[in-house]
Amino acid sequence: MKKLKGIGVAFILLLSILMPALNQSVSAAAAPRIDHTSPAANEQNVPIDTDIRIYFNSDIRGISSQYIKLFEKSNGTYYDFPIKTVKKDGEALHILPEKSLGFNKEYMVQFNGPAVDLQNGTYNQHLSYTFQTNYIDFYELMVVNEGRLMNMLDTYAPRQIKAFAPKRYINEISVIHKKTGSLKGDQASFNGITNIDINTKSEDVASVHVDIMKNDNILQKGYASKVTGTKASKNQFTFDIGFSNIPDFYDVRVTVLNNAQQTIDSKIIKFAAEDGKAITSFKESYKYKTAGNGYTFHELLSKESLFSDLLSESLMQDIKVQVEDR
Amino acid sequence: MKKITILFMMVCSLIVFPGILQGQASIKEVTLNERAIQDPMKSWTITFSQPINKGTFKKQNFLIKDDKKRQVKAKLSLSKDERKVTITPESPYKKEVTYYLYVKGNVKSGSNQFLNEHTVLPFKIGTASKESKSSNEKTVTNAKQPTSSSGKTSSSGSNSKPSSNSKYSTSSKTPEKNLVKVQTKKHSHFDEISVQVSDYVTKVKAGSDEFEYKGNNLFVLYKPGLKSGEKITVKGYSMSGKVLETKEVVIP
Repeated sequence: MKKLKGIGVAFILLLSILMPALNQSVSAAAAPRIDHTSPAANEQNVPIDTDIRIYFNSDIRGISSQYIKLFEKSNGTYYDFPIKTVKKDGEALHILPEKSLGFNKEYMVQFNGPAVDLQNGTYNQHLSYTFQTNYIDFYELMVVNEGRLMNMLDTYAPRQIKAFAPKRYINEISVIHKKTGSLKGDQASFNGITNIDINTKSEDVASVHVDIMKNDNILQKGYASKVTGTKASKNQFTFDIGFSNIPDFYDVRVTVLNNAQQTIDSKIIKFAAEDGKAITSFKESYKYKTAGNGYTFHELLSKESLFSDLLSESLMQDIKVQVEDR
Repeated sequence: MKKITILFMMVCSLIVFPGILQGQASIKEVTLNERAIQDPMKSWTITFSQPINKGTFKKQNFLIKDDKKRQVKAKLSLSKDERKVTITPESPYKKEVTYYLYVKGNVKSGSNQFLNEHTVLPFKIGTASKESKSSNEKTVTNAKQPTSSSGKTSSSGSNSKPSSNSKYSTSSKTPEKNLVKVQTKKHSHFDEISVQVSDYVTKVKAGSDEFEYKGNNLFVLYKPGLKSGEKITVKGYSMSGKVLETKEVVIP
């Protein structure tokens, strides 16, 4: 009997020694893995200001950022999209690109080595997933096909739908227009002369094109030339162009282009020479509250003035809509 | 020998001063936008800010040609103040044919100043609404203000006032109707107010909200939060900021 008791005590002691060890081996069995990503793989309408986050099943202890890559697809090929920094935030890895994502692009997130050290081990698997930043036209949702907006609201909450106002580059347009004719009665008559100055931001701006239009016809056009030297301002460009013999009533269409010859801003202003004046000058300055910013539909619906500003400051066709998955 | 010397000097002067032969023929020609007319017997009146030199009031300087460069038979008349020249065709214009009204740069003012260019106005019988239907007579302003007269089509065709500073008149009478057409359209989240304006309106506002210019005299405002039956006051401004016309619209 004594012998049996001794065996029982020994068994309990053995169990008390072995149990913690067994527990540990259970927790060690949960290998490092990814819980989920944001944006999710193959998402289509990812907002351009989205945070790229990868959530693991354990806290992150260290990062080897050389194994973490971000690519942007262009003409069928993935090109390196520089990463500014990679941060850890509990179980989440946060990838911050050097510049904002672009619209209508495909991005690929890639791990190609032991990228992340977790509390439960090193994540050493190859990872590769893509997402896209396609957008829907705000104009289409709001004006052309309102049914599409209703469908969207069936799937997404207003806080998940984001509208992005385009960046604006034109600060000021000024026109000086001299009518045909003499300034004084005893002077010889001469042709009408028009000078147009366009002040822009310096960032991204490569050239400025000006069309003089009437009744949808282009009467005259040309690239404005950049004013250099003492007249140039910091962080701004001034472009100027002259025309002769244009009518006293016309539209001025200013188009700002980047290095890739893509239109990045445009503006149409209306000019009407003043009655009884040989020279009419006109200046219009632009200040934007919403340019370059993204707003959720919830923000727009709850702040009428914000919605109003968005609609008045940007052409609806230039506002882009994207959705955030939860 | 003396004759040869004179001949030689004449030839030299022609080489050195070719303008002697060219005269006003070398000056620039300005073609205005094509106009659509409805009256096949339409007469055109050219208004100058000064009386013209009577010696230059002749058919070579004011003429109409068809698209085959054939001159159309027309009568000329000069107003009593010698500032208006009217050209009237003797036979109707044909449909589908573009005609050209020429005002030659040879025309001089009373103080012997030439026009600085030839002006050509193409026109054709058509259905465009640029023409005043009630007016049989249309004022063509000289020089390069082809659109200035289109702004006054709803008022008068022949009452252009000369600019006080310009040598030649630019039609400058502001039309009575500056906010030509105001329309509203309801969308699910905002209202759209569009305003078609005259040439003279360069800015349109509803309260503090400024309309976006879309080109071709059309201004549009997208405004959220408007209620059905709400009245909106729309103002059209000139370039100098003067209110040219005010209209009230009711949101449907």
